[in-house]
Order: sequence, then C-alpha cells, then structure tokens
Amino acid sequence: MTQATTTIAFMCHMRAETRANVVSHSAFSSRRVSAPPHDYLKPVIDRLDELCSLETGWDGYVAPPVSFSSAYFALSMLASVWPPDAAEPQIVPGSSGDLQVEWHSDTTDIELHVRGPNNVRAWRATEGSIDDGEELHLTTDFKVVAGWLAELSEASVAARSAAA
Amino acid sequence: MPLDPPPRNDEGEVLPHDHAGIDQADGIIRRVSPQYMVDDPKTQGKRLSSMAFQPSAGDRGGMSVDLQRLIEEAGLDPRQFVVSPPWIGAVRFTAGALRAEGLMVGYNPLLPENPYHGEVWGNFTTRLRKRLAALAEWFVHFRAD
Repeated sequence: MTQATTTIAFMCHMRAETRANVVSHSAFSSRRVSAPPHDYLKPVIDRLDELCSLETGWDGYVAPPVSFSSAYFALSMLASVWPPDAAEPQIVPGSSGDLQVEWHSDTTDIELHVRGPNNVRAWRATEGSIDDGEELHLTTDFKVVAGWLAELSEASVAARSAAA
Repeated sequence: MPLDPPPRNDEGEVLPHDHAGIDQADGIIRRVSPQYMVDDPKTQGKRLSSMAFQPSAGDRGGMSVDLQRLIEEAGLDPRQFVVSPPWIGAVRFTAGALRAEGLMVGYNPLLPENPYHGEVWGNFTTRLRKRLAALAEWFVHFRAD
C-alpha cells in the first residue's frame, strides 16, 4: 500500500471518528450535532492530510512528517472547540511530528501546540496585554480554548458590524 | 579554528552543552521551511510561525542550527550551504542573543552530511519561541519560484 493510500484511508477514518467525538463533547456540540456533516472541517482535514504526507527532512534538517496520532488528536480537539463561525485556523508542522494550530487577528493571537495526544500548550495574547500572553498546559479539558475562540469570533463579528 | 569535540554519553550521543568555542558574535543559522509561514492581519502579510523555533523530540533533542563560522572556515558560502534543499530559507541569530534568552549553544556535527551542524538547547516555551521569532533576522529568503 502506498503512503498516499494509507493517508487517505486514515483521514476517512478520522472524518468518521470526528463525528462521533463531536457528539460526545456535548458541552460544545449543540450547534453542530444537527448540522450537515462538518463541511467546515474539510480544509482542516485536507491540511492535516498534507502535513502527514510531508517527506522526512522537509524542514532542511531531519524532521519527520506530522504523526497520525497528533493529527487525529488535533482534529478531534478542533471539532470540540472551534465554532464554525470563527476564522479558519492555520496549521503549522513541527520538527518532531508535532503541530500547531493558530489563529491571528488584529487584536488576538491564539496558538495551540499539539505536542502529542492529550499534550497541548495553549497560548493567547490579546491587544493591550502587558506581558507575553498567557500559556497553559492542557490535556483533556479544552473549555478555556473554547472560550478564547468564542471571544475571538465575537470580536470579529463586532468588527464587521462596526465596519458596515 | 576547529571546535573541540562535543561531550557525548556512552552511546555516543551528544549531550546538551554550551560550547566554549562558539563566540558570542558567531552567527547561528536556522533553516526554515515555507511550511512555517503564516498569515498575520497585524502585518497584513506573512511571517514565520513560532513553530520555526522548536527543538526535536527526545530528552536531549535541541533545535538544529548551522554554525556560520565553521561553514566559512571551510571555504563555503553559508548562504548557499544552508539552502539545501533549495526551497528552504534561513534566518540568523548571534550566539550571544540566544544565550541571553537562557539557551545553550552547542556543536553536534552530523557526519558526513553536515559537519557544521549545531544544536540549541533550553526550555522552548511558546513565549520563548515567540521571542526567538522576533529576534531572528532573515539570512536567505525563500526563492520566488
């Protein structure tokens, strides 16, 4: 089996698993359970697919591709915390098979460094912060991040309304 | 002048160290991939993600770098040497700037492919990686094609 076939098959599995996980995260899923099957996640899945297919040494040194386990965990985490009306995240590979999910706006930066399953460094800086932002180590509970993203989404809506 | 060999454990692996032969003013080059670029509305353009400044996995894994003085002493052009593969770009620090952030700058030759390879060790929190992203100066920009 080729690497590409393996990756695609895995991602199909991830799509199915993601739906199950969304249902299980009832605290954040009320808007999504009845929604069409998560088309807004497709760009994320495509990007994760791309990162899992990187060649070893893609960084100019010896970095491996993003690991399936980190990609899977990141997708499950996003399905739980990412409001569909928030901006699409940017996903950046790391040099150890890890990855980082990022949102940047005029006033806020959010970075979720997925070092592995259940091992996330979450960081946020907002306009007017007096230090280098707040940084948390998260494992299974991502309510804080869901709150950050809700605030980010609300700020974007307010900015669009003000501009209109 | 060649650097003294780095400290190694019984398995021959290089141990984290701050090499006395790497001067404060020495250039420390970090190759960067286009995969690290993110859009930032604040700059209305692209910039390097903090993920560009991340150590490798493992207890002894540091952030891979190239030691500019060693490349030059070998008669090579560092701007050409570090862009391999050719779609790679590179940024530069000084050893002193990295040490001022509490990091150790060491020597870890990878033979035969990169005898000028070094590593930077320390506690790479997100805050530190953001500071490194701000400190880094472009050494070789990505090719336009």
